[in-house]
Amino acid sequence: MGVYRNYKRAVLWGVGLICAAYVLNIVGLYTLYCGPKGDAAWVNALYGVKEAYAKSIEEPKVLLVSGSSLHFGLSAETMEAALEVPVVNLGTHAGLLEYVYARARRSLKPGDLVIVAPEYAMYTIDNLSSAVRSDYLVSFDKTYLRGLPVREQFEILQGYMNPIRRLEKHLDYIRKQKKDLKKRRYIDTLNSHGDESKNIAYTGESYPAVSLGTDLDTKSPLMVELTHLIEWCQSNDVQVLMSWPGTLKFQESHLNAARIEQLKDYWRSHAVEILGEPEDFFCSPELLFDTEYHLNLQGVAWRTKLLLDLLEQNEVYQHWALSNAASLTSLQ
Amino acid sequence: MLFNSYIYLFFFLPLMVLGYFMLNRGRMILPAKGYLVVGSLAFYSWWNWTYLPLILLSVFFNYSLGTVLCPERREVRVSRKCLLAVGIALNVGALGYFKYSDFFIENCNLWFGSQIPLLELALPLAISFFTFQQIAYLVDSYSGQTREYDFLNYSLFVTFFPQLIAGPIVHHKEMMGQFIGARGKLLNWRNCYYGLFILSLGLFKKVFIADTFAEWASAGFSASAQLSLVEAWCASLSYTMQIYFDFSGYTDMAIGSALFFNIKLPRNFNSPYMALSIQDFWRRWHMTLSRWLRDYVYIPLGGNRGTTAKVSIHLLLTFLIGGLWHGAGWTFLMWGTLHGFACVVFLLWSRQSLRLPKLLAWALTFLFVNITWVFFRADDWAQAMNVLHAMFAFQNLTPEILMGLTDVPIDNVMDRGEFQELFPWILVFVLVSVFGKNSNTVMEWRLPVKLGVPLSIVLFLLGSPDLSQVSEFLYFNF
Repeated sequence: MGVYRNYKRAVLWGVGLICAAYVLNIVGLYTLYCGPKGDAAWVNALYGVKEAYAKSIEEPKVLLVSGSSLHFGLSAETMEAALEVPVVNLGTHAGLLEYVYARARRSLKPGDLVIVAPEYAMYTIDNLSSAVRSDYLVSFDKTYLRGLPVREQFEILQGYMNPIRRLEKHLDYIRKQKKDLKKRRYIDTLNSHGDESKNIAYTGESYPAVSLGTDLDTKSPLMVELTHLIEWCQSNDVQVLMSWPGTLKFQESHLNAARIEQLKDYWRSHAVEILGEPEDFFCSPELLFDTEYHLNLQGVAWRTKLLLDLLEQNEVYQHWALSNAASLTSLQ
Repeated sequence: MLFNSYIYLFFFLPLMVLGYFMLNRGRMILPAKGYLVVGSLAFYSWWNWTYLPLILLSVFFNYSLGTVLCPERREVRVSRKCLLAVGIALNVGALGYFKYSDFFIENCNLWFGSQIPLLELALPLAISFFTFQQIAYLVDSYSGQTREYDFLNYSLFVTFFPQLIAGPIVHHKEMMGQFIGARGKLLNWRNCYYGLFILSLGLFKKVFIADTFAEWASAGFSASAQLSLVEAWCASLSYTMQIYFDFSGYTDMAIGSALFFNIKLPRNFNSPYMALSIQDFWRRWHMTLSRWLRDYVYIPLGGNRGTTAKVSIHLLLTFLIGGLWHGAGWTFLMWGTLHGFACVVFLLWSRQSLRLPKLLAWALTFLFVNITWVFFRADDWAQAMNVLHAMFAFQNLTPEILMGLTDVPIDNVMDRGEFQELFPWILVFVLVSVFGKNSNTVMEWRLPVKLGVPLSIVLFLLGSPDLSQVSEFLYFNF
């Protein structure tokens, strides 16, 4: 009987301790844990620089919002010089999905103008699952994580359930963080506006032309978040303009004029103007850097000039610039 | 549902154990069994319920036929032999239809230039396992080795979730007694203790060892055209480790899960990489399949009776069927044929009463098994040939390399970091698989709780998967 009682105690202890390890791990994930893989740490460093500049601006500003097609695609510094208006490049990583647009609100103030140019892939994504997004939220934005629906939180946390591996990653991060801070390896190539400068030249690789995929679903999580951003801006005195990413020409089979029209109609129905046409932003392969959405410095100069020309002809921008002229003169 | 998923480990298994014993405690024996059957069917259809009717039909058909085939049933007028043949043919026919149709059509199209479209059927999960299990039941019913069992017990014998998807292929004789017996109706903490330990060990083998080697093996096989000699050996040895720790890990998890219900599943592995001959290997590897092939293919073909030539043919045919059972492809056929030939060579060798030194015998067996796994793993013939070609490209080994004067050339096509990282792990796990105690031995130990509990916790936590890592067991494909 004594031996039998030992087995019972052993099983209950064993199961209890295993469960306790998991509960502690989950508590750690919501509070202390930080152990990002490469991209999430890079994104965090980018936000550090870009948001610091956005917060330092008192006057109305232009905020450029999108994923890495923007980070490696426009020069806020050049735009600022040309427009004589503060411009921030808030491009980070398309893998953050809707978070890119939700996070942008933190850098916006009444009187600002936001230009949003989502990658085409954003319009076709039907679920919010991405490794870099999960990694970023668990490591750096637990408040946003806690605000997600419970089911979504559970889906994200499932990827971080091994208590031993999490502890190992956390300790590793603490150790590496000191080294990274010294080397500033992620932000050495950024200017104060958040523009990238390491995308020097075309690598010679060939990249596929993008596709618009299936029919536009305005109820997709990404479209819903974009719509929220627009509505939030409109109710907070922030002007919104949409635009297109710089990329290769759609392949003939992928060119779906009806789908582009659907998109334009959707933005127009929300009283949002669009800067240019997708074709305006089609570039030659020599202007690319390391993916079909990343431009090299020559490509950045080309796209920046194009956007500047479109902005200067745009009535919404002209009106915004005029109405903020008084406060903007103080910048000069 | 996968054994290495959280839904299984933290929800399904505890729910089944608690529900089963609570019903039994309330003396609701039949509802408890029904609960296990329904739970097992839910487990089966967790991802895709479309094949649920197929397994239900199969269970119902074979149970009905089994009761008719029993020699005590005098009222049956049709020849029992004829009924048995029909039963086997229908079971094999269903398996063939789902598993081999496209293979057959593809080869017809290739040889005869026909344009028959492929059926592209999804392979119903576990069909190979439950078909073999029920063919054995029919044959045993025919030969009067089965008693009359009720439908609920029979359904539980086929669908019992720990062994449903990928075995062990159980025999009705070893299971029915356990389902019927009264002792199994009470929660047994000793069994729970060993169940937890074996389950944790299996989880550790699958997630920590097999899945790690899987990355190397996949990287190597997918880059088969550019492999260097060393990388090719690394890729093949990684797969050799992966398949053993994956399948034996799965079996351990099945055995551990069943133990919670006081059900002892048969052992399926007995340190196969320790084998000193190919015959010895097959006595240690996937033992329940080997037993099935021996009892229901090899012996009915004639077994050891007859001339050496006849026995050789029986062996070859048995291994051909074994190879084909694993998958519809020429690579699987080749794998089975090679093992068949090796068994014939061993037969001829042993009939001459010749012996090899143990170390040489082990090395030859291990190398042979490792090389033949290349056919088993390769996606197609060309990939297998590429890997094998690279494994035997000894012309690249210069005397300087052999004498350790120059580094071994590594193309690093695996893109998985340095080769130096992998080599010690291969060595460690080859040694573990050869000299380590297997889980059957561990179960026979009187594992003191002071050691067993911490060990179970550490193994469970180390083997605990992150979602991105939850991967299927290799034998789910067969």
